[in-house]
Amino acid sequence: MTVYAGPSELVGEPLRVYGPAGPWDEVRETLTELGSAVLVSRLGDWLPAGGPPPDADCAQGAACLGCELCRVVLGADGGPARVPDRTVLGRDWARYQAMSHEDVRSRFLASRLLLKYAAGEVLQAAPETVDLAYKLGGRPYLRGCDQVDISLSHTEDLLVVGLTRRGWIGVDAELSERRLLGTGAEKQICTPHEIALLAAMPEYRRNPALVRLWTLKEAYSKAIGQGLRFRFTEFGFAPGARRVQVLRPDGSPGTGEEWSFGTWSIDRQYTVSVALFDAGFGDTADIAARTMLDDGLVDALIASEQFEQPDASEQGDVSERPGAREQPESFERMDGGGDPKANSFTG
Amino acid sequence: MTPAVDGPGAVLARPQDVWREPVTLEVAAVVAAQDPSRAGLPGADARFYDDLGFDSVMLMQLKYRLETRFPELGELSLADMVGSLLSVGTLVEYLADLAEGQPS
Repeated sequence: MTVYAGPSELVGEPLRVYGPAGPWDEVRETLTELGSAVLVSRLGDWLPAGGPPPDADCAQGAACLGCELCRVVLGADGGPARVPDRTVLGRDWARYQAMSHEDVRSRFLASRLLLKYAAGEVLQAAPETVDLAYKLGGRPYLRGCDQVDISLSHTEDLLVVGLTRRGWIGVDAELSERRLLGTGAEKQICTPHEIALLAAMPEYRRNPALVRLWTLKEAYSKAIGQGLRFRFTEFGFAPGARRVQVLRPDGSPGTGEEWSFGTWSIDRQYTVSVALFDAGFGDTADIAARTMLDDGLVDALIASEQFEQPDASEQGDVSERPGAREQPESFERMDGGGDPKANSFTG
Repeated sequence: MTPAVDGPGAVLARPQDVWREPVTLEVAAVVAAQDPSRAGLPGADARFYDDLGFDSVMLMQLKYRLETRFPELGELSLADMVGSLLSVGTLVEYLADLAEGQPS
């Protein structure tokens, strides 16, 4: 079996994004150098507690709620600007409006803000022109720009976006302490090989190991567009291996070398996994929207003036924006790099 | 089993009516286990993700609870169910069809 190119080579460490200010230059650099990037952000980076203040100029007048119809974001001049949620969400707007679960609603909006700002920066297009669409079965994609694959995950107040121009990407996040053991989940998640390995572990390590397995399998299933349609007990991962690779239920090697995987612990609170399929698209250095957009569509977009490609000089240097150079809080590799104790599957 | 619907001019219940209450209780149990502050019973129109805050793990847990509660249905398949996991009502219909031996 070929040794896998691990995510350190193909994805890199997750990049912390602090809101509309990015830092997008790092995201662009990572995507240019590696072909893929995993972004992590917090709910509060996009939806500050209490929401934005009422706007004296709001068309709603005295009825302005500040948060329901508009979103304060970073404008082209670096100052605050208001963007209607309706505009940012596009085809997701009707669904968003009808959502009754407050937390789900917030995460839904914030994750799409993160995705659209990230994709917009990467494609050099305005966030509201990024057309997030869904394939049959629910897999999200950038309509008119199939060359950049995306994946979304969010849980509690963590948002994760995966971007790749290599092929397919899937990301998944879960609270590291989420109780899966004993809830009937392990029977649905694990291969017989994995169940045996979990049983051999000390009790305190079983649930974190199961959470890690689950996020890896979810990430893989999302990358191939299957979601819960995939039977999780029919593929597994190699416990304790420096390189994570897909295994058959009996533990023998599964998929080819095009796949790479990674798991990180974010702030010792969340487990985040990524699955990346390298289809060999990695040589395209120019991923500006004008280059990557499907032929024909770019003409239609320009003709309709919905597609504005700002001049590079107007973009400003995002590294000078506030907070852009703050360090990520805590990323800890869980798959062999660094402290072996952090590896849920050693032993 | 065909219980009558309440009220004047009651009609015979459809097969899914006998499933509605127990399935709703199982759904509510999964929601409450995740977030004890959400204790109410969901209506048939309640959507798993948008209204009840379900995620993949909660769907797995619901499947497990349903298998335990209705052993006569045998082992359920999330892959087969996922198209019917839109709302409580669509799940009830799926289970009623399954019990009738009429896969939806």
